Amino acid sequence: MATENAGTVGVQTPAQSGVQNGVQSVSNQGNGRTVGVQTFTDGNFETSVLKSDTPVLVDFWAEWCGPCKRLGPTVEALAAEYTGKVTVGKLNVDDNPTVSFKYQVKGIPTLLLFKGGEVVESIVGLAPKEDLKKVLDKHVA
Amino acid sequence: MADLQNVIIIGSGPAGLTAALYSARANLRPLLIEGLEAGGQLMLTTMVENWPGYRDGIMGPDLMAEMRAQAERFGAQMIHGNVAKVDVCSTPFLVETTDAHYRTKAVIIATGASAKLLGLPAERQLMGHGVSTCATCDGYFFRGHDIAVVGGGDSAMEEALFLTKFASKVTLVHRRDTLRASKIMQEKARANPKIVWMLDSQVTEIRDSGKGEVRSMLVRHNKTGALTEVAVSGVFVAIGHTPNTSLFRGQLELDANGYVVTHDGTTTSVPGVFAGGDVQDHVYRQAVTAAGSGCMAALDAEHYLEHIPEHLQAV
Repeated sequence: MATENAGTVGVQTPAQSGVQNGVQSVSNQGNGRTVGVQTFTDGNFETSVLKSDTPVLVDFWAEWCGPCKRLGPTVEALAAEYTGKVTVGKLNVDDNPTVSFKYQVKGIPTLLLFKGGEVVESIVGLAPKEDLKKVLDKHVA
Repeated sequence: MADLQNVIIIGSGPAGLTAALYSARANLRPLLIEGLEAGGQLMLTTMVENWPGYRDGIMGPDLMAEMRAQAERFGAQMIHGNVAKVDVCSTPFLVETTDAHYRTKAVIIATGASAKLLGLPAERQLMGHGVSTCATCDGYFFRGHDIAVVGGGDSAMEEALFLTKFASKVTLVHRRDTLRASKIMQEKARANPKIVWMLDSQVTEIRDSGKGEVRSMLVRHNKTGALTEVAVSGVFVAIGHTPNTSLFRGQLELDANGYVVTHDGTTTSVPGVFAGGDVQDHVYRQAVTAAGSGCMAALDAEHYLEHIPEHLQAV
């Protein structure tokens, strides 16, 4: 769903404006810390999300979902701003039905925040970056 | 950021992007703030068959990408972001996003309209867990399920038809015994064997399984008052739209339903503020009429800027 009408706030910073929607930008900075938006799958979900030491924000999306593409730059911006504090990644619901089914995702975009292997926050539909930051800030020290 | 803009366009559907195209071509160097639902309602549709010039139709998101690129080609500046505050009570007008403040001589409002909900208690809770306002986003999750579409307009018909690709059965619930949808859409929907009809009926309750997932809906027949529980795992709400005008309440004349009131083309109650598209039109609400009024707003703004009263020009 995509019509949650927030009506206020939420802006991508100029730094993100060059980032293409849907592009997976993952790089390793040599210190063992992965930055950027990761790709989660049915295969790596257990290790990358459920067993992660840091909170993990998972963006459930699909190629055919217009609103998901709109949310893309916001998710990328969050990944950059919360480097080291929150791991951010995308999970394609088409390719990874097991995880999507397990967490009863029936509308996208959906963002789930995992902490210690449990879902602690669930945001369905489009949301401004500022609102998402408030949600994340509750769970980072 | 302190630069005084000629015109700021708020919204990036057909009205906003057409206004951007025209004002860019008039060398006004427009700034367009896209908004949270960038691209507008067409981003949620599939094939658009009534956009003139595309005889075989064009996908809604593709059409919007084309419009955006066309406006950018002539120098329209696009801002990712959402307007948090507008002040049109004094000039130059003020438009604020969370990241920036802008001063502008003219504003074009093209904020469109967003889907209405039924107003049932469980509806928001179950959003994303069976309740949806976007068939193209969420239909995929209901493969082989029985679902419902609520509404009687073209959008409801389109959603129902789209959803038959996934669902085993689509129950269409509409509160009147006649549909408001265009004849061609009604005929398409009526010809589809997967769509069953519950007309003259209203959804009074959406029930969940106790696990936060839609399990059924309670439908009341308006004449008989009879209540029927229909097992569905999804309810798609397509009962119309409400204009996105909360930013302007108290500053511009709005009608009883919240639409911006325009006169003499696209002029609002404040000189220098113009409105185009669904935010000021609850009658036609077509992509092509939105684009048309976006064009009008750009021309009206251009004319205004050429004849702007001297006392309003000072910064």
